[in-house]
Amino acid sequence: MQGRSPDESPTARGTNAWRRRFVARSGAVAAWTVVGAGPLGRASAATPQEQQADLDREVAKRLPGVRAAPGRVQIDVPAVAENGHSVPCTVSVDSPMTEADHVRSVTMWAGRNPKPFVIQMRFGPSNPRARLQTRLRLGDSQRLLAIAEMSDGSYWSGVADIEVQLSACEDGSG
Amino acid sequence: MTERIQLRPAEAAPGDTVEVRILVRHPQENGLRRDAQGARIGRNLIKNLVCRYLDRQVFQAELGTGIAANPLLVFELRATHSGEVAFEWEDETGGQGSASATLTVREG
Repeated sequence: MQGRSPDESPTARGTNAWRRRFVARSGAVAAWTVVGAGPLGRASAATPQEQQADLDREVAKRLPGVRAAPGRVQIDVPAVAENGHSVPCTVSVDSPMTEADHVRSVTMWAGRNPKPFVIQMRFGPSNPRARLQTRLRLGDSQRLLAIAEMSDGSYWSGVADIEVQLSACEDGSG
Repeated sequence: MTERIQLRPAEAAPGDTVEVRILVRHPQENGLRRDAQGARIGRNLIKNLVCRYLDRQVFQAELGTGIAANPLLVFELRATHSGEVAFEWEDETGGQGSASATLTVREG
């Protein structure tokens, strides 16, 4: 965050808006601390409904018109990450992965990241399991969402909540 | 070397699961950072990464800012015949790279 000027380019506006939101939430943490709130201080400033609305907007951009049923998709992340630079994550989808019945694609979002889109990947019957292990960059404590598209045209979703103690965005090395 | 692919195991029987580990040395610039002079560093993400086994696509991905710098991608394929497992990537500013490994399948 060093030397950031009030630049008015669209990206800069987005960033500043994000910073303002962050600062607002940091204030909320202080308030929560006074009343002895739980460990999910920062995430608590964004209600589950707000987080869900953020994610719904992002899903509509990538998968317009898709309504995914909850289930079959699992996101494994640690409950708490000391910092958001490189958080281990495994996404897996329950599927027999045969020619007739397999996962076609998996898309993932982190709703409170400045840019929520994380990854979109394609699988097929040559994968014995629809499973990806990777490392995430997370700017905040938040809810992660993954949606799988199956070969029969159905969509399934899974979520995971993670507390990030030091944002990947705070020291500028992100 | 800016990218690497590893197969675990590198020798398998037909039908076995083989883990493919891909690592790319890449900053995954999110477009939000500034350099020491305060100038914005342009966004540059890996927009396409494709992995093929015996010339057939077995995995493809588009990476967003939510994938950490120096991306690690680990997935599985089903061994059929001996041959090459190769991947290539391309980023938003035209950078690209590729790497491959040989899978040995004990047949018969």
